[in-house]
Amino acid sequence: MNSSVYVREAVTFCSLGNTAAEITQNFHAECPKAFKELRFGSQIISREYREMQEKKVTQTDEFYTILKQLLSELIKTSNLTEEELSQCALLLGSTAMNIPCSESFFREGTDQRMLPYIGYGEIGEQLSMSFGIGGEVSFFTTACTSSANALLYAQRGVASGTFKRAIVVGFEFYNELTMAGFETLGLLSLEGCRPFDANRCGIVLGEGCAAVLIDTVASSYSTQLLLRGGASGCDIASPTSHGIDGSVVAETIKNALSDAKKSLKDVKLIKAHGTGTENNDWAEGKGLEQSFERVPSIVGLKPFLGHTLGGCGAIELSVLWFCMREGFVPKTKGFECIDNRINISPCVEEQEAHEGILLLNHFGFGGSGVVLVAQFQNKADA
Amino acid sequence: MKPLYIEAVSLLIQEVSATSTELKKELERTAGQKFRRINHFVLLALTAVFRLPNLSRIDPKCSLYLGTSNGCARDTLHMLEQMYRDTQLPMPFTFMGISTNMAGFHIGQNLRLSGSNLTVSNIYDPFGQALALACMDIEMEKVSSALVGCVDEGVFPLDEFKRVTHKSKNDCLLEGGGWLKLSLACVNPLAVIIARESFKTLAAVEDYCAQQALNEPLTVIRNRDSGYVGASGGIDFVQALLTQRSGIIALISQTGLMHFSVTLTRILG
Repeated sequence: MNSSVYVREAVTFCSLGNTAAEITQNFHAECPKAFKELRFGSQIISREYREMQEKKVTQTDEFYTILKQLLSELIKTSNLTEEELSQCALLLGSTAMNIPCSESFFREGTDQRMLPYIGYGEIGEQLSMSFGIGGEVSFFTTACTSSANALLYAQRGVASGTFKRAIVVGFEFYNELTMAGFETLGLLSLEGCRPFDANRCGIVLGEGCAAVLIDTVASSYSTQLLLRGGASGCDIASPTSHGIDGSVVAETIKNALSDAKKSLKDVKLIKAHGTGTENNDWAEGKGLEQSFERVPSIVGLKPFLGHTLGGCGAIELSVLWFCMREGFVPKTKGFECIDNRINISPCVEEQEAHEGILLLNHFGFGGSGVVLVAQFQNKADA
Repeated sequence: MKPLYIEAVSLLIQEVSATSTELKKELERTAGQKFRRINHFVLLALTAVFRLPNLSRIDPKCSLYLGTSNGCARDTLHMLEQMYRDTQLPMPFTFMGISTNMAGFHIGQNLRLSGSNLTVSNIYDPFGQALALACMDIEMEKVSSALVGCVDEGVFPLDEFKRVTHKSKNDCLLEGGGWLKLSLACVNPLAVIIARESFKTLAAVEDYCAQQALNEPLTVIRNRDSGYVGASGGIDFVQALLTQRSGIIALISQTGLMHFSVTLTRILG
């Protein structure tokens, strides 16, 4: 067993930018609101949406172009050799996968409209063939926890020596099916994402992708992020959200810390799932209250990035690491008024990044919950 | 590796069907309850799992690993057609149902399982990948028992589906799933996984199997061009476990460009 599993490199394209420098800078900028419009007959639905900058996926070639750009960037910045790539596992996670490609066929109304998404294992195959990634390929489809599960299994695979190293790719690109589906469920916000706020009003969806290299080799940065372990669980109470008593959330946190051989008092920061829906806030909030005597600092990134669904595990881990490398933890935008039923107050001011253990929470449809335990520290383990 | 026991296996294979009535009857009879608002993919997964014997004795901490080639393809297509052809908003329950992990959720809910619940895909061998993750978790002592399975459904119109999935026009298409229950210890096992080895090439896999066959009769299972709508390895493996009375089964899985594995399973009779 290797206890030192590092995030060696990460690359992200998201609504805040396409490089670590752009993304960290834009946490300090006033981002303009953007909307997406759906038309169903005479019905027009307009909802806030966090789009990627200068990148758009509406067709199959754009889908693969962007994912290949992402991986090229990761391989270049981490100086991965062909030999290293041949011994690398590829773990992917997404909710909508290549649905945007299918939609383009439907929009164009061609006869060949059907099912380009059939066999989504093809995405992993295309990427592994393009870059000579030789190891196991797993495509995780566990809704909003997809790429968080991919990260957890990358950590386990590298720690156990099953994988020499692993690339985790999390992605979610704009598609009308997802937007319309969340609309019919009544989950989309009319005015911003406000996690844990008493006046929350739902989810703002977003798009993005991230590639994360998990390795026993430390990163070249002066600060390190290590994956110490985690837990994946299933709340069978409801297909749409974790039980609002928070008991399964608390259990998953307990299991994650036990897996990482850490205790509650070690935790210095929590990256909340924080979707801004009542059910998620209550389940997560109650779970945190049950777990901690005094809940540590909480940050929610979705007000900035939107909810990138199955991609959020990899995207939010990368973005948080970029910020912490620059010495700060972002504020949680949109939180103003405490919800007395859960008493959770995420930090509304930017904080200094400190060494220590952080929890990264993810919860999704199908009862899926993943809590990752990471450690931010100033230098690599000896 | 530690010996991993296969306690039980189940299989459901049928010609691709547009109707679910008979399956639903079987499921409601074996599960002893009514099921509402489940789609065809979930129905196949649940019916197959409820064919496993002794489900009442399943450990609530048992984890679930489901491999699928195409996931919930039928309802996904249906929803896209509704949106673009009929300009209708999706129905909430249908939308939720197309999340491929919903099959795992329903199994978990009905068997009261709180362990991890994964759905994975892989172009070559989704079952092999699900089995690899389960074995890794068991080896690392993250879990002590697991349900590992594969499920795939056919999509209409069948001719179009055959074209997209590279099946012959004359093929009779089969859908369904198979499950096996794995654990570190059990009273009356059906079989035991005695070794799992990884290789970079198929030639190395074949050499390894040839060596193993010198000691004991070996039945080699690998994905083949069959009428099954997904990758067939898992289905063939379960079928072999159900029919063989002795010997060793070598399940060959390709799960990456240069990644092959062999799982050796001894039938205990």
